Amino acid sequence: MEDIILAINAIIFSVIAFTPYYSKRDILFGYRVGIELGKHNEAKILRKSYAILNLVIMAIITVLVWLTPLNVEVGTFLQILFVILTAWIVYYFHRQRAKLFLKTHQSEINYSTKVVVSTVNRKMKDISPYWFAINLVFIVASFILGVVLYDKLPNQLPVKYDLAGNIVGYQQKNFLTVFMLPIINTLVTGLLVYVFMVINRAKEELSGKDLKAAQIRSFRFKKFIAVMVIYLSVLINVSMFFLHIQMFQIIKFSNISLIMVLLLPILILLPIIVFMFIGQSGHLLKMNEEEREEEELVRADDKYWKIGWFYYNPKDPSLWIEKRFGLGWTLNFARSGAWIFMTVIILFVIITFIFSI
Amino acid sequence: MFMEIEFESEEPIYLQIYNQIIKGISRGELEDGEELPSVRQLSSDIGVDKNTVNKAYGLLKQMGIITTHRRKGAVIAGKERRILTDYIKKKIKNEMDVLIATGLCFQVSKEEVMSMVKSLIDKY
Repeated sequence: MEDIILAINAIIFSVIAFTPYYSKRDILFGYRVGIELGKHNEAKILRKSYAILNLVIMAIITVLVWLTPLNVEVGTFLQILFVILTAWIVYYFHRQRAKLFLKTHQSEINYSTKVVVSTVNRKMKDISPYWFAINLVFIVASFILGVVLYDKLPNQLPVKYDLAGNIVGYQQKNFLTVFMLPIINTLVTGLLVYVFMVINRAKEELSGKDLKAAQIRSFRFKKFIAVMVIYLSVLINVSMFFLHIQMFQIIKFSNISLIMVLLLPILILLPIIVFMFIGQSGHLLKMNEEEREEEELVRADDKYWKIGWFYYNPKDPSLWIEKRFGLGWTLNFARSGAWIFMTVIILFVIITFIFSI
Repeated sequence: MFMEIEFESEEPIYLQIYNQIIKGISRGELEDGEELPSVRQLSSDIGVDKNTVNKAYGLLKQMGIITTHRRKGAVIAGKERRILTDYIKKKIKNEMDVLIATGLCFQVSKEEVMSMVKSLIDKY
């Protein structure tokens, strides 16, 4: 048990500490500095300092939490919470230093008012969204089981187990408790289908000297994420189905259930480790790159990135855009769609939270 | 093909898109039947209003350079469809006329105009 929590923490912590390494190299803590300046020694020192400082703080927090007599769940929660909060402070501090660095080297950057885009119609023909249909089998089976077994089920449904497999929590049988899991599953799967679509719809920003290579990297990156989104949806659906039939007492809580409950977070987090080695937009992928003499186009778009984190550009019709610091995509908060999406997510989290109490 | 859009240019962005697609076809970088990005994709990548891209595609369609499919979106028209009609011939002539007249306004000699045309046409 403790080994698994340690492994989960290790993954989360390294994702946080090594962010500057898998983020795009032409961007330094939210400031666009270009490929050349991104390789500058001072920039390298900043990245290293961010990672080391975070790792040291994480170690201190971990030891402090171990020393306090908290139970594992609360302790782990607090630990992750503190780590995220301090990482924000460390980020802000390094962003200030990156700003100074940018100021002293500003004259070396050749800001361009041009933008280069590809005329390739982006379609992810290689990965069919129909793979999501696998999930349908589990969702439908869950619903059917609920309908068929409804009358036979006991009035009290077991919903919580301790690690030894004893039932510690019951809930009154009603329409909601019987169908809660497949309903949540449908919503989660729907959300993942949307994420799958976002991968293709998001704004593509090609940067660097070899745009063709950048395009291929970006495509591979998206393809990998698309596969991982499908993997994640199947993983969640299979384990939720397992949980559901366990609730109906079709199968008893066993060692297999225990292993599944514990392994699930790791299986979910595992792709993130691979992402860290691919890098944002696949920039860490090795390719036979032609060293072209083309000039790198450095866009002066820092002003649209609040704290280098939130994108706000009313002139840009894109809803989704590549993150500057981290992996994946973020929203253009100047679009109403961004606020709708955030509201849906927050509502979703609140509803699941209320249900789980 | 990569399209380069200059935001500070006096040439409007829709015209830049229009011109670059025409040049792309002439250079053979865009093939017959090739699907162009959707209006949503191109406006998002460039970072301009959808109307700007719509305007460019509208002009291209009017010229018969692209066709629009319900499913595929904007597609480069095949050679058999890009026929030189009197309308287009007249249009090209008119535009050339203005350009040559502009040159003559600035005392560019006829020979110079000819050599300009030749050097430009040799790029294709």
